[in-house]
Amino acid sequence: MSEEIKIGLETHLQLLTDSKLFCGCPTTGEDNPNSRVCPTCLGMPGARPRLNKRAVEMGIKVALALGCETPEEMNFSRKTYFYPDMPKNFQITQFSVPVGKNGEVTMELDGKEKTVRIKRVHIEEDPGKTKHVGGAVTSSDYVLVDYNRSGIPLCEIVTEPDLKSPEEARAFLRKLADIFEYLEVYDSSDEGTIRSDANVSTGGERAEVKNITGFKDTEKALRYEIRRQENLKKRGREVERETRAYDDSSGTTKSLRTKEEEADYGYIFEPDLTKIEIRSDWKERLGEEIPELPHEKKKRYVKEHGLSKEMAAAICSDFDLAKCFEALAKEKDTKLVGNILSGPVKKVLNYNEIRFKESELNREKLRKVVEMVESDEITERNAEMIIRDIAVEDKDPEKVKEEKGFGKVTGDKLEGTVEEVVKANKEAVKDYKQGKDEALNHLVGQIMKKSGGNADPQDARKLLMERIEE
Amino acid sequence: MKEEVERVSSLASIRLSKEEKEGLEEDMENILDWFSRLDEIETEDLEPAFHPIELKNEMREDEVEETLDEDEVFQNTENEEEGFFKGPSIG
Repeated sequence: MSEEIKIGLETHLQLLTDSKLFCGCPTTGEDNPNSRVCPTCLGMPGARPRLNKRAVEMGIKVALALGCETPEEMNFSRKTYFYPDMPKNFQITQFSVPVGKNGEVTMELDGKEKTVRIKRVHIEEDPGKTKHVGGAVTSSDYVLVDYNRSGIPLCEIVTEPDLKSPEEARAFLRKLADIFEYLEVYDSSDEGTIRSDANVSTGGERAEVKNITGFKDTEKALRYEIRRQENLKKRGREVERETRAYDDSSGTTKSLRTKEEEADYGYIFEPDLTKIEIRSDWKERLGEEIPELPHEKKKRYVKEHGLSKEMAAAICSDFDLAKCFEALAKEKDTKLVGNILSGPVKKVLNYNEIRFKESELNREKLRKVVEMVESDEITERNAEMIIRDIAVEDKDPEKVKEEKGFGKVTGDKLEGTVEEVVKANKEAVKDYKQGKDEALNHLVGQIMKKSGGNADPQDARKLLMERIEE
Repeated sequence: MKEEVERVSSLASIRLSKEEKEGLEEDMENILDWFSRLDEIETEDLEPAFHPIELKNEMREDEVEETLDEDEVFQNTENEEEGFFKGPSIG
């Protein structure tokens, strides 16, 4: 891929409030269309917005956590456009004075640190949802509109064009979602609530790709768009400055003939809302509520708990997993807890594409697993098998252990197995004594087989060597 | 002015007949002329007026309130289909 790739993202994350940004309609609940609406979010004449304080506070916290400057006073603006998803013909957003400016996010990709500059952070309302009947966006007969999402609070993060590849863009979004999750202002279990528009240039003009949902699709959409631009260049054609839409069903981007430019939105201050003064005591209080963020936590785990960087990173990328680690590390062997949580637990979560809180795992169940390993009842390998089962189904780890017939073979029993294997494989023992190290692996394999996988290979190796050297 | 009328009508997604356009050209000319008088006022040293009343930090708590019933939602329109509002296609 070209060296000249520049990607900037405008990402929307839903703020986790109970009610909408400008009215008291619930943000979750009944899914029937237009069941969570009122005159304000339907844009009825005379209805006025009333600003949700919690959403503002969440916005300020995000701005502070991203190292942004916050203004002493901010306001909201009307962005005018005519589209059925916006019944009042304007969206209330922040324009000239957003809640945050000039911040940064540092992330890690393939072991390297990378800092992405944040241009601005602002709070705005989501429009409604349209469904096109009888065709695609431009060819449909008419649209059906559901205003349940109208007025849902969003936080928009705009980056400088600092991202150099689709992988970096994905890693950035992951990091951003982690920070939002740590701030407890965002529900990470629904990837659909992270939506981005991307500005992409490969040396020439830039194209804007709209409507990308989730992490994976961001990577896919960007990869497609970069390839499209590079193919144009190869054929000696120029990349046009335009707006394109990402189509997730085909994984491609298509040109959208939009005529609007920033100036056409005719921004004016929203006269139905007052200015918001961010007083220093308020800002301080909100700053104090910001918890230890993922990169700080990661450093501490390495320093305080002696975890490797990779283990710490694996645990810190899931807020609830990190909470579980901290609780268990207080009671149990920290290294063992770290091993199990960053290894098998993380693996099974990734495999099922779920977050810790969406799984059936919890502190109590994992404590039992750790205890079973600690007391030599099961091997770490057994633990992994048990975790696979109890992550997706609400099961008791001890019951699973019994069902699977797990029980670590140790002590006399293991010695007995070693003895049997040594006697039955005289050739291999001889080979090992003559310096063939791989013969030992064969013998350990026999012990594992005889014990039904319930011996610890390291224990077995140790015993075996002791026995042979006798 | 003709281009301006066309630009505004396309931004507002309102289709206009030839006669309407002509009438609006004249109206817009007058309106813009009238507003251009504001340009004559010296505003160099003035703070922008944001709101007629000096109010600050009017916010509500994050509490769920009552929503509209289905018949109330659609009481002002005939354009309803299976619980959705019907709108024009965007072409």
